[in-house]
Amino acid sequence: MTLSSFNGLYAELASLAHQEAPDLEVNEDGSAGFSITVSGFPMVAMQPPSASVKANTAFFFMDLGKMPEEIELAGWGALMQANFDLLNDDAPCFSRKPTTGEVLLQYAYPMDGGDPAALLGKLLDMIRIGQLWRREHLLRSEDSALGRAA
Amino acid sequence: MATANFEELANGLCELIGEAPPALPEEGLRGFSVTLNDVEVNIFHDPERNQDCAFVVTTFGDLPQESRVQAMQALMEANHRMSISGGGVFSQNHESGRILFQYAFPFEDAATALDLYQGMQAVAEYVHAWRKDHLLAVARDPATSMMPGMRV
Repeated sequence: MTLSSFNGLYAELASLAHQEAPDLEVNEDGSAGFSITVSGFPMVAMQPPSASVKANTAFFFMDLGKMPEEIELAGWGALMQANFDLLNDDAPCFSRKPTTGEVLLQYAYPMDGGDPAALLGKLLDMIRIGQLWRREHLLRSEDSALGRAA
Repeated sequence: MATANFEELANGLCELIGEAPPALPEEGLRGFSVTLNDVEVNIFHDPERNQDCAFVVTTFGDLPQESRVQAMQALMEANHRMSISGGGVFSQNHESGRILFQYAFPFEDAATALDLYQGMQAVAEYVHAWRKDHLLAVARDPATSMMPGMRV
C-alpha cells in the first residue's frame, strides 16, 4: 500500500471520529504517522520507513492510560493472560509504552490486501476492550470483547 | 519444502528433531508438544480460531517472586517493540502463571518446517538467558534475538 492509501486510511478514520484531518506529514525516510481520538481513546497510527520490511504495515497504538499502582501485580498479570486469549494471526495485543509506562492495546494492519472495513471492525473491538479495561482494570477470559477481537 | 497444512508441518518438524510424528486427530483442535534444549514448545492448530496457521507457544517459565511486576513490565515493553519488528507476543498461562511466548505460523507458500525449527531454536536460546535474567528484555531486545529465524 502506498502512502496515499495510508493517507486515505487517515482521512477515513478522521471522518468516522468526526475530526479534522490536517495534511499528513511524511518524513524523509517515508515514515508517517497521525494521532486521532476515537471514542475518547487517544490512538496513534504509524507507517514505518519505506526501507523497512514492515513498510506495508500500519501500526495502531491505543493508549489506555496508567495501570493503577494498587493493582499493578494483578493488573499486568490480567493483561498478559488476556494476550493469551487474544492469540491469533490477526489480533491486537496488550503492551506497555516504554517511555511513559502506560498500557497500550496495539494492532498491526497489513495494508497489502488489507480490508479497511475489517480494520474498522478491529478498531471497534479494541475500543470495546479499552472501555472494559477502564471500567474494571482486570480483564477476564469470559469477557466477550476479548473473544471477538481474537 | 513448504508446508500446506498442520500434518505436514508436524511431521516435518518431528523429523528434524528426530522424534516420531505425533498421532493427531483428523480434525478439530489438535496439537503436540516437543522439548527443545530443555524448553517446552506447544504447537497446535485450532481451525475455529484460524484455519490457515499453526500456533506456537513456548514456555518461558515462572516469574521471579521478588520482582514479578518489573519482569512483567519488561515483557510488555518487549511486546511493544516486537509488534513493529516482526511479531510474537509474551503472555501468561492462566492456571500456572508461567510466562509464555506465542506466535502464529501461517501455512503459506514459503513456510517450511525448517523455518519453524530454526525459530524455535532461537527462542529456546533466549528462554535460557531470560531464566537467568528476568529483565533481559530491557537489555537484549527479543525482537532482534528471536525474530530473525522466525517466519512471523
